[in-house]
Amino acid sequence: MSPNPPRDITGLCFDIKRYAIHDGPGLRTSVFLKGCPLRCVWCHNPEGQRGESELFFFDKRCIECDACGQACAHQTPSAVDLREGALPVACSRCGECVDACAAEARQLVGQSLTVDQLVETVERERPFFEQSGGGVTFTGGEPLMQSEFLVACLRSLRQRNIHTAVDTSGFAPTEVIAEVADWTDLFLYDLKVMDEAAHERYTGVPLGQILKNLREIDRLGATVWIRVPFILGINDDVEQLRAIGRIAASLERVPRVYLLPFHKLATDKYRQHRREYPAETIESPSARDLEKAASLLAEFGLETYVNGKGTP
Amino acid sequence: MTPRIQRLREATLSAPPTVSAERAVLLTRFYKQHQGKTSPPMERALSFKHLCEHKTIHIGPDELIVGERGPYPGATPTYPELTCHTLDDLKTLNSREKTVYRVSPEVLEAYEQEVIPYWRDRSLRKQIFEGMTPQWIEAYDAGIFTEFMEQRAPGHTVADGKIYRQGMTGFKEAIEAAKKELDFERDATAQHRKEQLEAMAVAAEAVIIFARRHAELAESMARDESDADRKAALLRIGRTCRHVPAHAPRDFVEALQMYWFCHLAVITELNGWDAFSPGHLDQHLEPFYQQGIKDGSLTRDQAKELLGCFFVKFNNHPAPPKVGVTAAESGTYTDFANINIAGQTAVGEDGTGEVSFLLLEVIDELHILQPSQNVQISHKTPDRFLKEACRVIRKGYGFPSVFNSDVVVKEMVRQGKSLEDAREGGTSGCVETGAFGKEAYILTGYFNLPKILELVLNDGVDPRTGRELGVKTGDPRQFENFDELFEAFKTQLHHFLDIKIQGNRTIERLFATQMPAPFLSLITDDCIREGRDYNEGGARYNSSYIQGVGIGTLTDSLAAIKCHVFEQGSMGMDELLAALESDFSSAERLRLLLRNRSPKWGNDDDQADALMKLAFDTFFQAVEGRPNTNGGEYHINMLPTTCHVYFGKVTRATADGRRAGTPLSEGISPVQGMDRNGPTGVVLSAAKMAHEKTGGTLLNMKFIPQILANESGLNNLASLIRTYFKLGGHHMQFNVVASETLRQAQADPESYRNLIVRVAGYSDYFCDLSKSLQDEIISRTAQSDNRLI
Repeated sequence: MSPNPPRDITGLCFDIKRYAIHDGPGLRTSVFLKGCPLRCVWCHNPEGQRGESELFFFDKRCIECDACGQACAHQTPSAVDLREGALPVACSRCGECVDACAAEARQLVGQSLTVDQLVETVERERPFFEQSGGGVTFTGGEPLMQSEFLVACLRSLRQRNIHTAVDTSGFAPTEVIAEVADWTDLFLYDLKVMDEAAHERYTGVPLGQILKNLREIDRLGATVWIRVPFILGINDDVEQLRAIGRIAASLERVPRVYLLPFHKLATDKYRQHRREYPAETIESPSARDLEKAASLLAEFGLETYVNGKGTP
Repeated sequence: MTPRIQRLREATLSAPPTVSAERAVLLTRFYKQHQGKTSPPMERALSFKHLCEHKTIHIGPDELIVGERGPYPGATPTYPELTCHTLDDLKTLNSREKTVYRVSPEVLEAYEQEVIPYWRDRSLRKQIFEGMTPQWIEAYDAGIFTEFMEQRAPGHTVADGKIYRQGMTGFKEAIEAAKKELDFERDATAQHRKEQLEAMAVAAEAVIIFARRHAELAESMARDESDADRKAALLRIGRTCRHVPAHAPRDFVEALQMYWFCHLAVITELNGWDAFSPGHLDQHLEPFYQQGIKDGSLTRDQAKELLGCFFVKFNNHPAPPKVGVTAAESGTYTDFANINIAGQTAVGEDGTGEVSFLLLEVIDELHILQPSQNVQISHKTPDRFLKEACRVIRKGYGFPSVFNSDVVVKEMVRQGKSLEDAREGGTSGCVETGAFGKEAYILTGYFNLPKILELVLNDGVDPRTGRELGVKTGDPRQFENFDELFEAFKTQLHHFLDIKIQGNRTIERLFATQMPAPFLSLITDDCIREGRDYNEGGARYNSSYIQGVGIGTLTDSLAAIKCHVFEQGSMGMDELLAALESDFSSAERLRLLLRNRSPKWGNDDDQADALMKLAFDTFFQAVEGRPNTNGGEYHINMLPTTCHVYFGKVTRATADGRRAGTPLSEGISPVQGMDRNGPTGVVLSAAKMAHEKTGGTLLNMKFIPQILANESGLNNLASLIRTYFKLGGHHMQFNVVASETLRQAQADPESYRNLIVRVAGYSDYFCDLSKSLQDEIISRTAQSDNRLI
């Protein structure tokens, strides 16, 4: 076992949510790490994709007091420019304008945190973890992108006896996920699209590495829950569901499977980013669609749940 | 629900709230003949007996438990000896938009001809206002505090188990024994005690007569009844009413009827606050239930039907309406009777039984306004019970509310009650802690905490009226630091508490001397043993409370001033005062700074929470332990009912960014919309309050149904409750809201800032989402019935 990791490692987080109830057992705190190698067309957290902080502007809140403009030393576009759609090209994301904005019209998405700062924040929720059998879930983005920070946090939390989960796409070098497997109590492991070509088309990365990593952490004895973002027209066909069922059932430690129904709640965020939402026209699955999919997976002897925003 | 309960439920829901003049007329005629001829306690006892002998007896179709407060369901009597409605009051009640009461021309005529001429100058309310100092009147008018006893009598009390073990004949024997103990040679109060005891004996006899009249009516109805089942039921009612309340109940139905006669007696004698409550109903009924099941005389379904009949009786009683400003402005039909479920026994064992579960089922099925119910959760309460309670809460009715039985007991022990008495106690009204059957725990009025800070910021002048109300604590622009400001707050606080408590003492004496309650005394320990009335300190414990309102608004205001004026210097005191005075007109950025860039209570923010603790402790120290005139002490509790709305109306803009006239924060809940760290943040902040130093705190939480969906949703809610209680919290209640509320939230987002919705694998505040996102969530809510798990 390696010595304690340095405490001054920082991670880039874009949110910390308490009372998270769909990301593992019990009442949890979800830590959203910024940066992701995938570009899934249905992505619900587009603000988590880029591995650097970003400035958001909520024009409805702006009272045009220009406190932001006065606070900025770097000629960032003023509120009026932002409202007209100008992107903050010259912006260094120092956050001065965000601090100055009393109306909360500006938000810096992605803040740097040390391990201690993060642990201190989640430690406050300990009474709820202990009562409910909950803990901390690292999600994103892709938390494995910041594996050094992630492992340092996991180690610190294990020392403190706080349950951890890592919500991952599984797309990372095998040695990275293997190290994380040593320190997390649970993986929430996404299987999205089971056709090689379609996987690359919809997510931007190949499937092979993801499946290889899944087998590797299974071999290492990790506890895994498979999560399937269930999206009509993309992975709702019998073939793909069977493929998921076969892989899950073939693991040493047969995982639970969670179907996460697709929803369009992220539409707003895309608008905020002034980005196209490629999945905007996709319909959300009905209860019947989900029921069918769940019973198909159950045929492989898998404990199957429908969870997440679509069916809270 | 059985067909009988369905019919009874429909009947109670369709019974229009109506003012009846029957009690007022009977009482007026009695007083005209007898006033001044006997001692005050005997006068009250005889007038009560007169009512029991002459009021209309009503037995409705389908009923198995009988007895009405008024002449028929929905009709409420009035209490002109306490407060005498004017004709205008009655006309307002009849014509106002909300919580209307029907008032017939006959009632108006009776009031005009008989009631008003006699009581106009004799009512206690009149004497109370005449007895108050000009300072008191000014502070009252300004909305610094309210006065509970100006319209209703001290009540705030709850039955314990003694009425299930002993009937009125037993109480009469105890009275005789107490009379024999009187020592006329050495005890100067012996004669007074004798009068009190004799009055109690008359009250005991009166309620036996009242029950007998029900028996006679039931028997005569049985004679004319052709339906064999109903005939048998009426005969059973007859037998029950001939047995209770004269004697201890022998079975489940007699136990319920026993309580109900006591309930009716308490609320016929006087209009005490919160009507009357059965306390640990499940624990009291459990032995009767088990015995009935064992000997085959009762089935589970029959017991449930009887409980349904019993619940409907409460709902038949709209609260007696208020007068004056209160009659025009406020209103609820709820009379605040509240049933405790589960909790613990006198020896500290878990009190959950089969009747506890039955009661949850009844609540769930009946879904009616009254009675209120709460579950008392101790560390010994089984998870299975808590989860069943959560299942009912999830339906979104707002009940049952949830109490921490361990802390409730701790609060009472801290006040000096015995452990056994504390465990047999619980909560009533909204959240108030009391030793059931042994304590008069009198709420005396709400106290407007943010208004005190407003007076500090205006050197004692009420900015709403320009009147000099408080102490001249100095020009706030001259305060050099936060401590100076807070010292001024303490000074103003003490000043108005002195005024309030001085007024209370006068009122306490008026009730003690003029308005004894011999029936309530009869069933409250140790009134018989002491030969002393409930209203003059006869109860074993006599506590007075002042209810702090707006601790959230106060805390956030203090935090904003400390942060911006004294620490960061982001605004001058002058600038702040000008903004407050103008209600932030042309100072929107400053308002947003106060609102969005200051530490806020309810987010597990240590800076803000430390100020809550400071404010709370200051209020506690200022009130705690002051003597009342009944041998007891003052304590605080933290609940608003709806007073945070009224207090908000009389309070101008506050330093937390709140606009003039809008509601203050409610209970100990964070300022509306300012708890932005989710339910755990609220719980962690709220738990920092020293709940055990109060007689009750009120924490409201609002969820949308999705968050509580499926079994894990229930488990999460139960975990949230258990955690709050482990950390020392007193009470929680939940709003689980659906589409309609969300639509209102869209229209008025600022008031709904703390409404949480699940967004994408995590929760977010509804109002932070765009219209289209909100729309989608609304449509999901509507589909919630189709969910898989």
